[in-house]
Amino acid sequence: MTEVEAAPPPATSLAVWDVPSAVGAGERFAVKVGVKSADGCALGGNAVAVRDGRGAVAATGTLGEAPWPGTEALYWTEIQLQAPATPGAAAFVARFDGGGANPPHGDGSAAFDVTVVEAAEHTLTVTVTDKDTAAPLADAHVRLGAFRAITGASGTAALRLAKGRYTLVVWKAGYEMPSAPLEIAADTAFQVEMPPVVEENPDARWKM
Amino acid sequence: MTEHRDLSSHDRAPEQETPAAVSRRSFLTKGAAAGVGAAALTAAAAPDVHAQGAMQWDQTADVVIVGAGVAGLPAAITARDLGASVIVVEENFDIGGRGMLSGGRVQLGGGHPLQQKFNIKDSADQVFLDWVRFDDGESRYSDRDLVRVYADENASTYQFLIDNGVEFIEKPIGPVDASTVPRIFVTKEWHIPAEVIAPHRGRNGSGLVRRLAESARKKGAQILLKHKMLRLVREQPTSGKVLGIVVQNGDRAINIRATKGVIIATGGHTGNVEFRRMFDPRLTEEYQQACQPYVYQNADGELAAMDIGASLWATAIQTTETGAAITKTRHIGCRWGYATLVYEPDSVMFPQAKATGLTVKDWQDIIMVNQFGKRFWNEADSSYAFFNAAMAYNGDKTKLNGGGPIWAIFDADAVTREKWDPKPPHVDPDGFFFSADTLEELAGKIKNAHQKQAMPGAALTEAVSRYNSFVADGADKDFKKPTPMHKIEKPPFYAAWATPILHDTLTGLRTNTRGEVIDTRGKVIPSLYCAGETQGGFAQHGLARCVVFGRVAARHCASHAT
Repeated sequence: MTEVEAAPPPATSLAVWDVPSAVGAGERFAVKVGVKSADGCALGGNAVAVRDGRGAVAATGTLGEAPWPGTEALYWTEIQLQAPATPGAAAFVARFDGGGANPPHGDGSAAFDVTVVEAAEHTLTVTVTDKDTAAPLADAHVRLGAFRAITGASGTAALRLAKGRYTLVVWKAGYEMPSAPLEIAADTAFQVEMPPVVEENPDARWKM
Repeated sequence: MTEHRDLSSHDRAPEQETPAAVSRRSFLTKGAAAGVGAAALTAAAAPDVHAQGAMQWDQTADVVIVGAGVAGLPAAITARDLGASVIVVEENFDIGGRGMLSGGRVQLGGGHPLQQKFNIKDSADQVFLDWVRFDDGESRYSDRDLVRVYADENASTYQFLIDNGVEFIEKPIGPVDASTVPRIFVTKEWHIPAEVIAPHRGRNGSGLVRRLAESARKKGAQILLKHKMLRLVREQPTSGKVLGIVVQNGDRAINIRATKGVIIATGGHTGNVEFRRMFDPRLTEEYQQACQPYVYQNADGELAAMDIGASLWATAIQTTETGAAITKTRHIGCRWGYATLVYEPDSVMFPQAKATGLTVKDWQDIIMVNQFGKRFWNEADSSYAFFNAAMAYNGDKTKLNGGGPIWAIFDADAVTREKWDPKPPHVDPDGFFFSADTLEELAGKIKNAHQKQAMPGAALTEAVSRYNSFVADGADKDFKKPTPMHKIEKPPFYAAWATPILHDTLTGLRTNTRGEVIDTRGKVIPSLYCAGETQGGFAQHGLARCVVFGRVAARHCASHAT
């Protein structure tokens, strides 16, 4: 006689986003965690946990009642965490205990890393302009290792960072990506001129 | 005396069905059945390439040209200029071939008047020396006898285009490719958008082929659209002269006799998987071809000529890894995302093309993975190193050749940065574009005929997570993408078709300097000519060599004694 097996509960999968690029040692930070049921079930009200590198529960949260904008059925919550006291890469895992969920689901998890840095001491102000027109460039991505910021309407971004040697990289669509070595020992201002990429000829040759 | 029976009415619209031919065909069929003779009956009932003695010809012209594109149209005009009667057969519903979708950059030099206007010093000798350069992959392997003819014909070919109504934008471009002086001038786009096929996208080649077709018709060439060549008719299987062609129009077979010769101008082989794999076995069926679905470079001309003994020539050129034989898909999420070709929703081809694609402005906004969810190269690279990695063996035990589909993976933030609208008509959700709330779910959703197995969700998640760690570190430890800028983390997530797309046919039939096709023993196949991308021996990208050799082949063919 064969036993009819119960259908397995629907699987789940997770997404973790808005993870900060760098967090000062011991500082608090937030991430967003979302859970998707393979059957598109409403998972609002269920718990989700984040465990640290040693497997200990670092924080928990409750999924909200509305899916993340633009998604089909990704129920999500924001979770507050604390960075470890020592600089370096800190590993975390977001977990969804599907067995205990309503309705029951398969378990799901997603790993993510946070870069923990020395506490910031100085402010770097970067002003980004178009090399050809000298106009300030908004929405340019400014990067110094794990530190990052996006310029505002005035073409300026301010970053708090620790003493040290960095490589400054600035990115914006339609421009070349300039970079420069930079030593930070005090509050500093820096100007970056972005050379526009020449408009691609629609039938230009494919010379590599 | 050549028979001109079916060309007596040059004034009828050339693209119309030819009722005279239809009635004559049915008459012949009936006549044969009624007892014209056993041999004729056999030929009509079971057409045999070699039963030429019994071949019943439905139409006749001095010069029969296969393909109404960038080589075939100049050939038609040239043959008419020399007084020959001309039939052009074209399998497509409209003229132009790939020239219709070209950017219209015509690389002709030799010191023609437009070059002179811009004080560009050039000569036939300079054109020759440039295009036999040893230090450029696009000139190194060419047949120098053909290049010499090409060089000598450059200035006169420019004048030929002007004389036949082609208009150029008066702005020199270059030097590019093997050229050492500026030689590129761009034709003006055809002025009727509905006749451009892919309007609003700089498809200036439409101005070249429309003007040439207009001139060819005015001069009395008959262009038969939706007539597909099935085979060539030669006196004996691999000997004797070529007598004509058999074409298909709807469900009819029509035999067209060529008293002086047949010119093959069918546009290359890139779309024929079996054929292209002769040169590169990696190019399996997942690789699409630029200019489809308007034009299928299906090797018709090559195959028909090889069936009667023709040889290929300069096959190394196809794989020099310098030109545009393989290109990156810049419009992702659709089947045919060639670098510069977009079918907008008002294109007559849109119902088949189904999506415009999402134009990638910056490769920092995506990563690319293979069918197993693994990154394979620096996404910002567009060189053959990228293509070689994309086509590498990746562990698929059921299909050892080819690299399988390549997918661009990105998130909601990339959509914002690129200002994409990831919905139809921009993407084709029927196998070429997928979205999901999590990466794991995305991997499971990818379904495409070329994706032979489900993409493992864990592998895709791992690839993205590792890439995100490179973004945090500012360095791509695996493939050295310069300063990876953006994490892929914000839902929803997307997978868009980004498999490399094939472009130029760079090898083909062997010809001599008169355009006559040569057989595998090195002998001329009498009355068979070839020009354009189906002709082997000259590695140049683009339109110029096609126009030049179309003229050369037609001149010799039309002067040929019958």
